[in-house]
Amino acid sequence: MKIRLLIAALLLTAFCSSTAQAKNEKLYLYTWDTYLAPQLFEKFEQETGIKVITDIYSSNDTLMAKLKAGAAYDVVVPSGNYVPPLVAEKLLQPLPDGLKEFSQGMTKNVQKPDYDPGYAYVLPLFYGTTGLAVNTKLVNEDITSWRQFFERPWGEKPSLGVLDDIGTAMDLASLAVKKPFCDNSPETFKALRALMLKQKPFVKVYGSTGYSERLAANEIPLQMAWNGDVYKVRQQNPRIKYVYPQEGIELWVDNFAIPANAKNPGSAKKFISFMMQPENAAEYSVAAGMMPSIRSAFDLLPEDMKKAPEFNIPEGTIAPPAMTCPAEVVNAYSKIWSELTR
Amino acid sequence: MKQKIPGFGVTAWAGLAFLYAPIVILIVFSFNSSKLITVWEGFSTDWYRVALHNDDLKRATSNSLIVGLGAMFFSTLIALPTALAMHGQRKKFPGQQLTRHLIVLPLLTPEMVIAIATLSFFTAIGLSLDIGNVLIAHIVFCIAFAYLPIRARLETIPPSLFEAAADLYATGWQVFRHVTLPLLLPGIFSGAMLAFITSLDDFIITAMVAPPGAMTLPVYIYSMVRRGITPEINAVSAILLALSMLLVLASYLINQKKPA
Repeated sequence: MKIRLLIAALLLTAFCSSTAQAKNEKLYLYTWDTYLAPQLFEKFEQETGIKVITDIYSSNDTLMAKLKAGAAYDVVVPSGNYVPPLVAEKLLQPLPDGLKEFSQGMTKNVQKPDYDPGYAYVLPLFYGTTGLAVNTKLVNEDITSWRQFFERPWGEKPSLGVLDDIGTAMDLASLAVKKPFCDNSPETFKALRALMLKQKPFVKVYGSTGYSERLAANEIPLQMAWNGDVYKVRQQNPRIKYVYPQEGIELWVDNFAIPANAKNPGSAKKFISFMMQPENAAEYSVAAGMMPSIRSAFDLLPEDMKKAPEFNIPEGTIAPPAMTCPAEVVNAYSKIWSELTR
Repeated sequence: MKQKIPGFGVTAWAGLAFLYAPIVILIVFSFNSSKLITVWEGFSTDWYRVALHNDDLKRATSNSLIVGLGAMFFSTLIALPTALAMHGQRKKFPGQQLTRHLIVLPLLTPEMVIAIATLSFFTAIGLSLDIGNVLIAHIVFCIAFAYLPIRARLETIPPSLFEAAADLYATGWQVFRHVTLPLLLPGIFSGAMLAFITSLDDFIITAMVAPPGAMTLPVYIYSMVRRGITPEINAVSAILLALSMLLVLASYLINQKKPA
């Protein structure tokens, strides 16, 4: 009897889900865990009748693996440095006509990005920076240089927070030793290795997970950090300050793209166009706590966001974009990194 | 001849505390009013409300339940006849010993291997049944979990009972319906529970195999972690924990009934 009930229940769920599918169009969005905006997605559904189904990831590698495995998402949001490998692996389809026009309204930091200057495959959505978060309650000195982060005075207790994103950490270390990103030369590798090994005794955590919490809880005085996260942490702990060191910061861009085996490319186009409307882009920026790529959307942001130091790169700041390094460089970086985290 | 080992009680309690303190802390902080999970600010049930209003979370939960119940049902359905066939009551068939090992192989194989094998197999045959893909993958590895308690139970039933039934002219079906099945029920139930819990817990296979929109709760929670763990996660975990504990309790109570 119980078993019969169970069969009935199972059939019912199967039936319900199949009828629901038939009723309206769907759009499968695979995006960053921080880029969810349920209200905005609902507004899109009301306007177009297309329901947005979201799955989330927290690293570009997860996205890449999932696409390689053939997952049929309609819209994905890769970072700029992952666009060339995704295109090379034929995992993205060229953007349909009618989307490229939006590139004209892009803010100057994301214009003609070197990973896809002609906007053939991707359209920038958000951009941000990786810099240094300083807890002014715990730090008395005036932090202006990456040197102060990488070279701590002898005898200090381990207290630093380093993001465990190898590319990002190496980019910032490259800035500190005044070398370009992905510099393929033995001297640079030597300098990077020396710098990071020297810093190691002062590092409390190599990790990207939960670093916002550690910052907010006054556990970490100096933390390599993403601007959007620092903005959010500062709402909880006003003593946290986002610093643009004199050697520069890393600039990164997250982009809309349509995977090669998307099942609803038409819906994908509608979705991206919707999100590129300035008022929607602004609303999305607020929900995600990120800088919009659309210039006119910035003006629609709430005052505190427009004025936030995290979202205003000071004039003249060196801000090279994150890149995908050649394989030899990646290998050299991994070697240094494994020495650090061993 | 009861021997008392000095310090046994203390060690046991320390062990228990070590095992369960993190879970207790997790539950306590699910009632935290602060946004941070490490700083206590005050009591509130807000995070449970937030969790219950999060549509993505609800979808992930319903995916988990659909897959879990489906995998439980089908894997038990397959495991029961398997256990009966493997049990020594019947004639031995060629390769029985090998089959015995093959059935429990999923328990010994690294999960990653199963995950990649399943994924490449599904891709090769072009299977795309949405959540059905996840369900099929789960059924396969849950069979071993459902099978073991059923077989264990089967071994405790004295063969004389079946012989007696046969002596009284019971047909094969009647023996199954009136003797085997009632005696096996607790085993079947714990097998089913074990399969359900295993499916609910699974991360690696689901993360690899899940097509768009079929994310289950563990995969969802994992992807959420970078955003910073808010007490929302604690609340969801606490609900899940309560659910699992209820099931374990139910299975325990049912198993208390000894065979007549």
